[in-house]
Amino acid sequence: MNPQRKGWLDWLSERLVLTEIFSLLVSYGFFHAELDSSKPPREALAEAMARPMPSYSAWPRVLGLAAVVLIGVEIFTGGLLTFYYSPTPEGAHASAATILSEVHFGGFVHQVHYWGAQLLLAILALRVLRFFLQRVYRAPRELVWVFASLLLLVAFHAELTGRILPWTGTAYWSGVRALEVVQTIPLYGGLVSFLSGTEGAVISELTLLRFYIFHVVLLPIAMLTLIYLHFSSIRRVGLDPSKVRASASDDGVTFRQHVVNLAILLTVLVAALVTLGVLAPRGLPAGAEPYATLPGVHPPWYLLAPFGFFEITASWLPRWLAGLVLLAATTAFVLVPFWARSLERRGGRLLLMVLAGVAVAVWLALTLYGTKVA
Amino acid sequence: MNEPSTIDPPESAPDRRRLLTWLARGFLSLWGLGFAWLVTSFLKPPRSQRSLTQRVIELGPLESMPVGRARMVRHGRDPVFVVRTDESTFVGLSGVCTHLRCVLTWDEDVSALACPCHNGAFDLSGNVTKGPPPRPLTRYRVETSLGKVYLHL
Amino acid sequence: MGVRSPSPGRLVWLLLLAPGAAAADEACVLCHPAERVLAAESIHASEGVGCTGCHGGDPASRDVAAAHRGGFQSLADRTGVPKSCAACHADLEQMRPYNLPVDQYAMYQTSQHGLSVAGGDERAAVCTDCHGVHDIRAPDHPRSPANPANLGATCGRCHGDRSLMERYGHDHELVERYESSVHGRAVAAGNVAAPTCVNCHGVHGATPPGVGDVGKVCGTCHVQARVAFLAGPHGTGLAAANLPECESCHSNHAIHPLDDADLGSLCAECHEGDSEAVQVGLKVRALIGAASEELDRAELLTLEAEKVPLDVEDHLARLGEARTYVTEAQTIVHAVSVEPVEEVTRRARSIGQEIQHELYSELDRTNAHIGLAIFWFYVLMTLVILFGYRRRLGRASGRR
Ligand code: FES
Repeated sequence: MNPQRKGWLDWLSERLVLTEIFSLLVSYGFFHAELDSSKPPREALAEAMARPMPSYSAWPRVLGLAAVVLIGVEIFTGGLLTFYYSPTPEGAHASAATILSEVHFGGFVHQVHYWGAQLLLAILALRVLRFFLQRVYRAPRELVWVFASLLLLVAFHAELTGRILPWTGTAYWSGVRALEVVQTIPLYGGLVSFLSGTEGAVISELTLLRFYIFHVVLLPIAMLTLIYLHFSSIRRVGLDPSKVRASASDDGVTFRQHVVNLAILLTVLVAALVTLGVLAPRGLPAGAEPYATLPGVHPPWYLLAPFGFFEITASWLPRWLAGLVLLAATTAFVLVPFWARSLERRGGRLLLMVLAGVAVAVWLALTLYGTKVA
Repeated sequence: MNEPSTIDPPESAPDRRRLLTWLARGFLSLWGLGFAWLVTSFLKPPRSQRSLTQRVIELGPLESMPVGRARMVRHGRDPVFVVRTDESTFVGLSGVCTHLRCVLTWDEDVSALACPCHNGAFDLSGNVTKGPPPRPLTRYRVETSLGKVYLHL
Repeated sequence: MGVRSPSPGRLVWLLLLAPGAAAADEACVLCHPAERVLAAESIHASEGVGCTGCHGGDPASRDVAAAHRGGFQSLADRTGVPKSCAACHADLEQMRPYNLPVDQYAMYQTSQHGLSVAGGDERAAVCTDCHGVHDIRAPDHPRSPANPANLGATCGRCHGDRSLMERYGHDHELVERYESSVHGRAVAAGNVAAPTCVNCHGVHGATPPGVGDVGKVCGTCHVQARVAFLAGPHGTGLAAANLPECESCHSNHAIHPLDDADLGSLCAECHEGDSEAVQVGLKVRALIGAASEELDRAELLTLEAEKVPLDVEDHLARLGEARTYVTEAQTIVHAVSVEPVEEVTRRARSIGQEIQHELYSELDRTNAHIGLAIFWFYVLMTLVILFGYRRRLGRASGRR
């Protein structure tokens, strides 16, 4: 490091507020250190690089970073796919087929995009689970939980809107099944119908276009925003449940080490996605025939439980009431920090754990049931 | 992306160390190369002439299709016959018999499409003139523009 | 028909009912309203042929007796019907504007129906049995009994009537059998090109084709099959033995397409079980069977590849071509000889094999797996480098 020599970094910093750009990266968890803007950039960077910080690349904290990396992969591969995809009922399936069979690496990009989404959902769900078990929802970490759970819900939406886009028979009908579930939820169902231009559970030309817009523009923006807020909260309060504030020192990782860890994480994730994509490729079934119901199509796996719930209660619970139960359950999930504490205080930790265990068991049972009836 | 840019070579065997460092850097930069290759080849449009969405097929220059001759065009699963009936008229007809889906042949002597399976025959309007086919052939529009022939599917 | 004088109220109602009644017939309608209504729908009505056109009489007269005088014929005696129709329909002058043939009557007279009627048989079919009585429509009208779609039922009215047919010693189940046949079902499915009764038996000159002529009748449509048939040993052999051509294997009326699988067993019905002829049948069956199996396999593979998805348009087009060869082979079979069948089925098979070969190599994922192995080697190397660097960083910062 030679302070006299003026490098390209100095050249840039005379023309750009580099610290601003750096803090953008900080916001998404890639870095966890602020740059000292009073120093020359090279020096500030070197100082930041050597600064100790909590290790976000150690299990289980690494999940957050992995999620961000995966979202990055999804945005990148998704961006590539938009170069060929055409969101019209006539063109959707054909363009998907073109991507898969004719475009160089088209199948590869598609597979990575698909598996990235599945992995992302799994990681986000795992994260919420670990937050619950390690009680990362108690004050002052309420918002950490709320944003993490909202992120999971938004990711489900992104997956759902994405799965319809190839306009295959299975995609179409699994989308219809999903809408059937969503539309029974009071208020929210109406909102979804309104926004996606669906009447009943009929998926029209308009729906495809709107799902596309949601999938490629609005939901990614929502996810990035939530991550920003989520990480911002983490930077303030930290993830260590035994402490009240984030502390930088004790993990003993310098920032430079963290960057290497990040590179390792990226390599591992990309390797996993590529392997999944090559060994378990997703085919492209025949195009959608909106007038011929395809038998045996399930709603997406994360909606199987609500689907099973509706089927079970169909005979004795009005549909809107069943929808209300679903809405209440989802709300309770997002708002765990605001009721779990008082429950714990009254009935002890055990009660909460039992409650959560029952919830998970019911979910699994309903999913199983939903698989059968669908 | 994260080249080990500031590895300090230890005192022992500095040359070997430097060589290794450079090797490692070169190795890691292959990622970037592969990445760039992937993206550029992805973005290069596939030059397939038979994209599924393609609804207009170029058949080549006018001169390539003599009057009174038929040409079998393969696009999709069913072939199409394009016949030039006179200087300016082209006819496009499905090449699949409406009886049992045999592929038709062009009978130049009588200017008709004949089915080799049960002697079905179709005239140039696609009508059944002989044999068991129950329905006329589907017709397709053929257009000429700037000296080239195009088939609309 | 009793003689009544219609009440004025009834008269008005009738006139309203048949507003288009030709003025000349206005008196007939007073007593014969139902017939008038039917006749109004006929093609005759639209050409201005009224009651008197067939029945004669005096339409202007309101007096019952007077009206039925002057060349009146009731036509209650059916045997008089053909002649009455022929009065116009065999007249070239009158039929010319309609471009209708005038030989139907002559042909009818040669038919079994015509001969019986001429012999005084009242039950044999006359014109009106097939064309309708008062509501005669053009044969291409969907409601005409002579329309191809209705013809089975029309002929069946008599030929499916057991007691009637027994009198003549005829089989009364022929129509039923026809309707179950490939032809009958095609007609029922709306194929206007499929044959009805009259395509084999003749229209007005309806007569069963002679035993020796059945093959010719079939050959009018099944040209290719007949050409092959005549060229083969069956063509000469069956003729020499005075056996029917097509019927021997396909039967009559209840004509069903034969399955490829029937080939060997069918031969054994006439030939010795281990004769050379049966061997030919078995060989031909094996050839066609092998070809279609090959194509089935190719098609399955194509469908599989389509889901991947690979571009299989071309494969499907070639598959269609190969299927054409198999269908062709099923026609060539009539020459009961192995070589021509072998030739076309070989083409079909080689196309099928080619398609499978190509698709197998495209579906083969070995290349992808080799690529994956290289990729993993690269990943592992990268991880080694990164971990090495990390360790050195840890050492440099003095911890762990
Ligand atoms: S398939 Fe063409 S005539 Fe039978």
